[in-house]
Amino acid sequence: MPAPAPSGARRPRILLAPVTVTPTKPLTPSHLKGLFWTDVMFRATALLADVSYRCSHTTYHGCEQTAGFWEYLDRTQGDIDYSTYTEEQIGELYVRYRAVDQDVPVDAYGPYLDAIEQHGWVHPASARVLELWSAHYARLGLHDPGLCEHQPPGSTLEEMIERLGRLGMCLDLREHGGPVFLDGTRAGIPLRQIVGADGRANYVACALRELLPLAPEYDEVVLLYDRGLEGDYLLLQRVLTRLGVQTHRVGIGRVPVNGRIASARHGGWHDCSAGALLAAAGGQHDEPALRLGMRLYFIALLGPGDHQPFRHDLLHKWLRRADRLLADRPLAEHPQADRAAACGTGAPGLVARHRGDHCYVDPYRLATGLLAGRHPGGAERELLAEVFT
Amino acid sequence: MRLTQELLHRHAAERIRSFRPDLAERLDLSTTAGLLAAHAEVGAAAEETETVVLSVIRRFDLHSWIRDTYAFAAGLTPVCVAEWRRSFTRTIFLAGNPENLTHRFTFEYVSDDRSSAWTAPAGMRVTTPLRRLLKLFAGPQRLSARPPLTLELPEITGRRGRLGGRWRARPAHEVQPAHEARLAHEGQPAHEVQPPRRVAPPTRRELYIATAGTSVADSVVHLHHLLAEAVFDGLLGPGDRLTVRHVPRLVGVPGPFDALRIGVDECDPNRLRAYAGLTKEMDHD
Repeated sequence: MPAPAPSGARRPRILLAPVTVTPTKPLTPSHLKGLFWTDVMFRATALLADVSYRCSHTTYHGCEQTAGFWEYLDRTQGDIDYSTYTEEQIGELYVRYRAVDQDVPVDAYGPYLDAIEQHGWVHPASARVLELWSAHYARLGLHDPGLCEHQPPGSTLEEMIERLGRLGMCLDLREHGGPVFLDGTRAGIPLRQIVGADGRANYVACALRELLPLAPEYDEVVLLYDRGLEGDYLLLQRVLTRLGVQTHRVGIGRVPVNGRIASARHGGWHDCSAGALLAAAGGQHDEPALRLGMRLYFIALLGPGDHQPFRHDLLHKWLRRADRLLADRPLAEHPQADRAAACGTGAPGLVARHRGDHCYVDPYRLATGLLAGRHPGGAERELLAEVFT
Repeated sequence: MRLTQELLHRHAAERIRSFRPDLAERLDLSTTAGLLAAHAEVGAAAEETETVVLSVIRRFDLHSWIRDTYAFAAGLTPVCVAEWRRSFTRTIFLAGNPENLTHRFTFEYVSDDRSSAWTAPAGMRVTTPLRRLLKLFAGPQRLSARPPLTLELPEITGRRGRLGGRWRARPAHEVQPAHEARLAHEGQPAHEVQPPRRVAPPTRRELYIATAGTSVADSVVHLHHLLAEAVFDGLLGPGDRLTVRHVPRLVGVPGPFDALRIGVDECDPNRLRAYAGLTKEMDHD
């Protein structure tokens, strides 16, 4: 049970809005880092505030990376049974798709965009990926924000453009066949195209369709993203701030693999996809240790930057360390007993120290604080149960 | 007046001769190759030597834009005009919202409805910050043909700074880089603009615009050059009336023309064509 708010004060309402991963390939270490970061932030902050974790794949299916991939698959592969495919097999097809010089007429995407918009249709290849990811989430104790659910954005493209225009942040050149730009020039940020001259909306447009109607309902919005998208998320923050919403950006560095930070469009997940890591580690550690060790490795060890490369040996070292941590601080057989006992003073008080000047809890500070072991045992056990396993 | 290849060629050569007599001396402008070489040399000019105007467009409405282009050109100082003409009135058209820019950049002219704005002619390097912020104006669709419409060119007020000092013209003796010029503040005297000399009553001319083989973005370029240069040549003044006529091509249109915007024919690189034309003064209707 979350700690009660001080009497008379409403618990703050917080929206976590992480960037979505396109459901076309395996989850890489970079993806896992972002997912663990968001999950710990969500579960820790939920001890202190009313938190919504918004991550809708429906919103982004219309982007070129996804709908374009679906169109490519159908045109080049025909009717194949994706329900038996692994993420790696689908990922290989995605790498092929991104490597090909696309000269696809805009009309070809129309039926896919229609089906997505009108009835939330999902291509079987991505449905398979999302199904596999759901299983990974369950094993890793990650909160599932509705991977396989139909969660359309709260506004249409036209409504979003009109709203953006009223904020003075839209440059719409469609009248003469031109694109639509997100206009942050008042703040010295260059124009950013969000709808092409061919009418296709990119992921920034999709994010705006979702966030513009949703964000004002919250006291605080946290945007989580990989640092390669820093420019776009700076702009999104500007838009929400202009709407009057207190918005924070949390940029998370990617994880180099084999010495390179590569975009997933080039493949490179090798033996470090989520499925491969679970297969390698799963049998040797019980579930709580697996979950704790993964979080400590991806958050505390890798840190927020992008300098620490992925290393199997270090991950396994941290999984073993998690074994020992849990052995020293056994979780109660009935975690509710711990929660009831520590209600109001334990984990909630502990996480509150890692909030800084915002309502959300900083996962890195929390994880490193946990490792420093400066917390009373009861609170720590509750923290492990509520947030890290 | 038929717009033959010879006539178009003569007009094009005369334009080069008047802007850059040095090029006319070196190159044989009597041939198409010579004309193209002159334009290539101008186009390849080092950025340090170029004088350029940035034109920012938020929303393009042809008739308002014609009036505003005139107002911008008519308010330039002779020194600015001379510098700019040497670069063939080179202009870069950018998509942007002047409302979001006037606090950060100094503009020579901003339209009343803030839908378009122009910087004063300046060195290319000086324009870099604004160019980095915006994108080229994209208008790939064809300019729509509309019924003829007569518009009146505005009076140019003696003073710039109608927007409370957020933009001002440069004094005649000074051509400062735009971003180095201090923003004029409320209450500071704006620059005294010399309105175009008017020695005769307002006139009426016809402005023909071709719509075939060009886009909105192309038409913006063609009209901008034609109108600005017509102002500098004393062909246009405050109160003049322009009847704007859209035609697929300038074929069979009654002239004669005092000004023509000429370029390479998109269908045949060895031929020239007129993309816009300003007739001689017409009788008043």
